[in-house]
Amino acid sequence: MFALTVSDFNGPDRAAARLVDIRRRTEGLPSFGAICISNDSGSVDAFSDVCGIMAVLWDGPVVLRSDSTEALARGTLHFSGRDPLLSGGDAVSTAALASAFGCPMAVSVDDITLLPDFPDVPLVIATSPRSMKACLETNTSIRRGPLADIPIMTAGIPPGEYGVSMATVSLMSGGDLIVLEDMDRRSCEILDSAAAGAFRGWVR
Amino acid sequence: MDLSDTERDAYDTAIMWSESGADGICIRLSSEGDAPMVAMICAVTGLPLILEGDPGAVSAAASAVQDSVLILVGAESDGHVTVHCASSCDDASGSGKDMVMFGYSVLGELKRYRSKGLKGDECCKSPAIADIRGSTEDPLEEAMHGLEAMLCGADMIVMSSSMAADMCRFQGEELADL
Repeated sequence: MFALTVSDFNGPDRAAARLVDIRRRTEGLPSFGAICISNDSGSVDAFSDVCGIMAVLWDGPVVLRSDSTEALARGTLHFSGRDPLLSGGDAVSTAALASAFGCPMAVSVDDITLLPDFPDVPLVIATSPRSMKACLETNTSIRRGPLADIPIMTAGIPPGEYGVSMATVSLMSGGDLIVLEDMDRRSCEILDSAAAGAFRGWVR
Repeated sequence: MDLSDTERDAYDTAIMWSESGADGICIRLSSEGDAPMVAMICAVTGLPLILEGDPGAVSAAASAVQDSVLILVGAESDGHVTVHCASSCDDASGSGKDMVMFGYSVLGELKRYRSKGLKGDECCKSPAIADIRGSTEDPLEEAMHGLEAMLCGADMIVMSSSMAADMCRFQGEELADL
């Protein structure tokens, strides 16, 4: 599944307009079923405000991304009962938050060993590869290792042709959730088509 | 390229492909009269040629070219490489040809073929060609199809768009040293 990103940087009104744009770009593309709300502003209040309006306007899967566990907590309150995927923050604190709210969390391969006290939290491995090659190496390594059964989230995919290539590589090397910063309609169509191929059995 | 075009167009197209950095040219033949043109393209470009189309035309062209190795699809001729167009992994593994070719719609079969070869199946060790022509008219999408073919294990990719080929080359160079 692909997720396009909504930033909290310009407030809830701009975020709502961004969501309208995302719907237009991804209309009729079944693999684009999620959004990622990103705390780019660094403000807990701004993130909470945007999460609040997104919770009203969007009823699909959501990734909440912030370096602040407090921001994640405030955002999660708006999505009560909807199991947003929590990404970022201190791994142990975010795990405690995820456990309290019954949410899944995304965690890096390095931090996954820090969470033995949270067996109830569903985990997703978070990766942010800087290149197509790094993406292929990382996904392949995870899929061949002891964490092979844990879903992989590839985040930070840039816009443009290189981003489409990175997303395709992630998809074909076992990526389950791919978070795109931005993509035009045509690129979304191409990725949706690639995902359809993946669902026919090209992956793994 | 298609040799049903006029001779001049076919020749110019071959030169264009050669100068744009193609590693080979795939030529569709329609008659035995195409043989001299194939020989000329081979001599001028110096590139490996894949010949496909009417088997009689392919055989005739192969006979006309003695100083270069051609890749022949659906035909045989001494001294040239033969290719089997495979519909599945099983089909490919029993072909007995030098190379196997998979279309875009069966890339998953190419991946299975490659996996079996890597696991030691001697019947699945021939070089594999992915033919993604016609899978789309959009160069960006064709480039992504080429990337998919690479990740499925293709050794050679036949594609339509020079822009897509350039993108694929860039992608291939980044992934090559893995």
